[in-house]
Amino acid sequence: MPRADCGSVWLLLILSVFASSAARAFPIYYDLDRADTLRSCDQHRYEGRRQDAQQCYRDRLEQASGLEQADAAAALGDIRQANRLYRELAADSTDPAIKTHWANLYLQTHQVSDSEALFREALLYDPSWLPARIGLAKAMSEGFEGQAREALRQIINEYPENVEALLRLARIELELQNLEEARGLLDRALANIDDQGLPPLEIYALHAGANLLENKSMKVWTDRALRYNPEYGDIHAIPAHFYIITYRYREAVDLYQKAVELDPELATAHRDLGINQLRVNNVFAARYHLQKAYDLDPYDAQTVNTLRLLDDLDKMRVSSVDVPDENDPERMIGRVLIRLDREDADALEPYVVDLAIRAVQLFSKRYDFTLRKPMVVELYHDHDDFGVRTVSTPGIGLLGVTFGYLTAMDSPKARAAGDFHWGSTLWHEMAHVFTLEATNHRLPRWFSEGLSVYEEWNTGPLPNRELSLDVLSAIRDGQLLPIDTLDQGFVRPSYNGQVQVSYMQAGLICDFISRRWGHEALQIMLKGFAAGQTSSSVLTEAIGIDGAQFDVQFAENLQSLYGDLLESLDDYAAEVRQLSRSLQFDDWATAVALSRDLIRLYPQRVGEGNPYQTLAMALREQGHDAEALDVLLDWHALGGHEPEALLQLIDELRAAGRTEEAVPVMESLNWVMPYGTQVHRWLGEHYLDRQQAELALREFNALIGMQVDDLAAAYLGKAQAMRLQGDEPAARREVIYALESAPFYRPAQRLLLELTAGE
Amino acid sequence: METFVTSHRTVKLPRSARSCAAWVGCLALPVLLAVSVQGAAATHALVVSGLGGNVDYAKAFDDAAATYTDALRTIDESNGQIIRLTDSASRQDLLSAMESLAATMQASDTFVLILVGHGTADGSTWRFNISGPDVTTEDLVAALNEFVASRQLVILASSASGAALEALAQPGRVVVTATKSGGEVNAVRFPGYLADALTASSADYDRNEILTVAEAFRFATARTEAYYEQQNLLASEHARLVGDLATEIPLALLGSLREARDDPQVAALLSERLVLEDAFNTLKSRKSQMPITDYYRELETLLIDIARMQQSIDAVTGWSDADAES
Repeated sequence: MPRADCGSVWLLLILSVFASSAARAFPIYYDLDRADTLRSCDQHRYEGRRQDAQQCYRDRLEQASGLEQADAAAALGDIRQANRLYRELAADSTDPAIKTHWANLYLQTHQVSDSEALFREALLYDPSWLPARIGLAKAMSEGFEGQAREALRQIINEYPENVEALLRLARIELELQNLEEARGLLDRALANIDDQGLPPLEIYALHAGANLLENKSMKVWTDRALRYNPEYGDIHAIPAHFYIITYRYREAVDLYQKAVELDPELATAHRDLGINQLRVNNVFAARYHLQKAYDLDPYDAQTVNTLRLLDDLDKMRVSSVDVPDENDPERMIGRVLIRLDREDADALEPYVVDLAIRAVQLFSKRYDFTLRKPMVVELYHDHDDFGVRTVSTPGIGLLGVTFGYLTAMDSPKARAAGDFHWGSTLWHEMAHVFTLEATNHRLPRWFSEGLSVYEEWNTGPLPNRELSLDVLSAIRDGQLLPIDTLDQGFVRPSYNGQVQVSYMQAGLICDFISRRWGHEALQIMLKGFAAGQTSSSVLTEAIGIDGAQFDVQFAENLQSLYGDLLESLDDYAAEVRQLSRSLQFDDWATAVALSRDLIRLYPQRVGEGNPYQTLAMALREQGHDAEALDVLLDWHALGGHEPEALLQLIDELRAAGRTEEAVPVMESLNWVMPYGTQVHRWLGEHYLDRQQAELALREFNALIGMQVDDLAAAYLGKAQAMRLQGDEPAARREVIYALESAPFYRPAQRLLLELTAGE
Repeated sequence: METFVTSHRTVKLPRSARSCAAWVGCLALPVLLAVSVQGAAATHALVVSGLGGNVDYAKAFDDAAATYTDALRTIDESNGQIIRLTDSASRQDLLSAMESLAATMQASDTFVLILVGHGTADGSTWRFNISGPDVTTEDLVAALNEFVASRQLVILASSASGAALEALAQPGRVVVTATKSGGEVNAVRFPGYLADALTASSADYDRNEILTVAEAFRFATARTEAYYEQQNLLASEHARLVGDLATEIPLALLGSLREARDDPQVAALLSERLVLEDAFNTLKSRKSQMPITDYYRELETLLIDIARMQQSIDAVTGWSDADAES
């Protein structure tokens, strides 16, 4: 087919740049159409006779032809030759086996989407070709595609003894922590391997992973695997993955370390060890293992991306702040290291420091946990750098991620102005640090995210708890998951937007528990999860009901909160469309009426497309400026934070002499768009007037860091704030800086003379 | 010749350039005072507003030209000639005015030429739109060749003016254009912000009440860039400045200096201030060679002296906080 041919040519071009070395994983070839001669070579490899295996593959490469020869080249890691051989074989053939084997070469070299295309080509020749169906499911699974699970189930229904499909599905079930189902699949696979002449190594490793998830010793499986192959590094590396999905990065690092000790040439383990060393802020060790991984497999994009990021990391500015106990300022309760891109460090740092201090002081109390090591906060002005930092791949759709003591997120510069409320995101992530570390990462994803969303809503810098219309629709349509399986909504979403819905559901659950049974109930749950209990048993202990009973009460609560809105959601959407039409025709009277009604129906809707800003605009058009101003103040009070509207609100309040009301709006603006020098200046001057030296200092430090045009005024402001704090030597130093910049600056001259009077 | 070019993209000059812009202005004070107070040298200027094409542009050009003229008159009203031509002036009027100014000038004088209006450029030259035939780059080059003034400033506050930059640049002359090339043909906002700079004390970055070309350019380019950012528009103008005297040529006196520039008592005090400023600049130039504690100790002493001197000047001029614009 022409389209498929085009695809092949494109893939061929990409692959043609490969040099002759290869990805260094430990492949197990489950495909039963593999040549028997090669399978005997494989067996040497499986049992740890590396040299014998290599010699055997080399012999087959010389003596064999066709697919066997190409497969031998691939097994030897000679990617270029393997690619050439597959390409030649595919040129005049419609044999789906060739495309399938070629696709596996792409999987081996981490080109998942390209391999998917080749598997699909193979299925064009023969839609029932089992190796291609399994391969496609594997590729989809690598990309975290939710459909992989269904595809594998279908294959297993048709071919219940297919070991590869059983193992692949078992992995997915383990990721979803469906341990019983996973164990069943592994047992079925184990029962078939002898008949099929396959090694049990991966089965042992996945069983070990299941033990890990159950907090049981892995030794029984490790011993069995090492008896079979004393160099089998994946017996540690495969279970390590399950530490990662449960956020236990330090433990994962230990396992990867063991993996590379067993098999020093296992590139994937070196890569994952490096990536996870970075997650626990061991930058030096990370670089060592990533470099090692690169030497073994230079084509792994995750390795290359992360090495590049490490180079950028060196250029970032690092500062630290010691956090004092609120009640005993002499006692430090934690240290925060802040790593910022130099480009926006000056604007952000005072705010990050401020928020970090508040977070450490508050969360230490709320979660009864004291930081045991410094918390690291990183903000990236390049979203792709953040992506690589997070999952070693650019282009992710996340805003922030926490790896234990390390939090990484987009800086406001990484996205369009006002695209997200960076203060809330940072607050959310810092809450994770406490909840994860308080439980040694032994809490389900839903509870971890739920607590962070709950803290955003209740203690964060933005008083906003808006549910999007999509989330409301999901609630109305019964798409929320039971609490016992809520993690699936995060790990394996089954419909578009389910991750976001799950975040909100988790937040609503925590909020409901706190309101009904008190924040203490959440603390009890946290401790229960730390002790390894399930969601249901934790609920029973904390609030006296199990998961199923909770789901009923939670649904009732949602009904009481949103029931009217949910029932009229379609009408609401229709009214929004009607409002849009009225604006097109400058029909301001209708716009005012509709906006007011939409606000009445759902007052919390302050984000994109909210009716408040529309109402304010329509009122202005009608000449009701004062009323419009009040509408925008309501909008802001509920968490509205669109930067242009905030700026307009600030200007109008200042023009009306309502400075006191403008100040909180200015503060809000800096949590969305902190680069506006005028707002920092106004705030600094305001706090000086109010004798609030600490806040004034924050603002003037931001201005100085941003190297504003009028540095002299910023230094003078800082000097005045320090004088207010009683630190005259520091004030004198700062006023000298001001005059060094502008020696004729009279207010600074006056302060200098005052500070030096009598000398 | 050592030159520097500043583009509007650099809102904040590099740290080194910023300190230069803020400080070299002080180096020029002896000259400035010679111009404004002692009468030993003079500032001559020609300010021309071109054809607007419509009422709005005509008014904008006229207003800007009037502001430039008023500002220049604060520097030297008694000795030099500040000539203002409106949009009724022709090419010949402009060239004749330049010719007559050139004839009266001495080497120690400063000459300022400002053209504000529409400009166009083709492959061969830049043209300033004026009544009758346009004035071309070649006309200006030829006319400027007649000037013996050792310090010259040419400001082309018009569209496409960047096309003339290279032809006009030469040692001893600062050239400012509103655009980086002849390709930037849209009407420009830079002239309006330049006019704002001449009346805003916030453009006087070192607060010495002497607004230099460098300071005015920095202010106007920053405002121009901010305008395009705020409007979410792709900037269609990028102003340029070439010449190493930009921090030494004044465009306006501000505040108490403006008010009291003819007062002999102020002049005497300003002479004393100049001595301190020279010492200040000398110290700053030695900063990198000195132990930092010594530097700041000496700096503080000097700044205290300057502050006291300023208080003396203010006592005579009657300056008070109410006179400060910012």
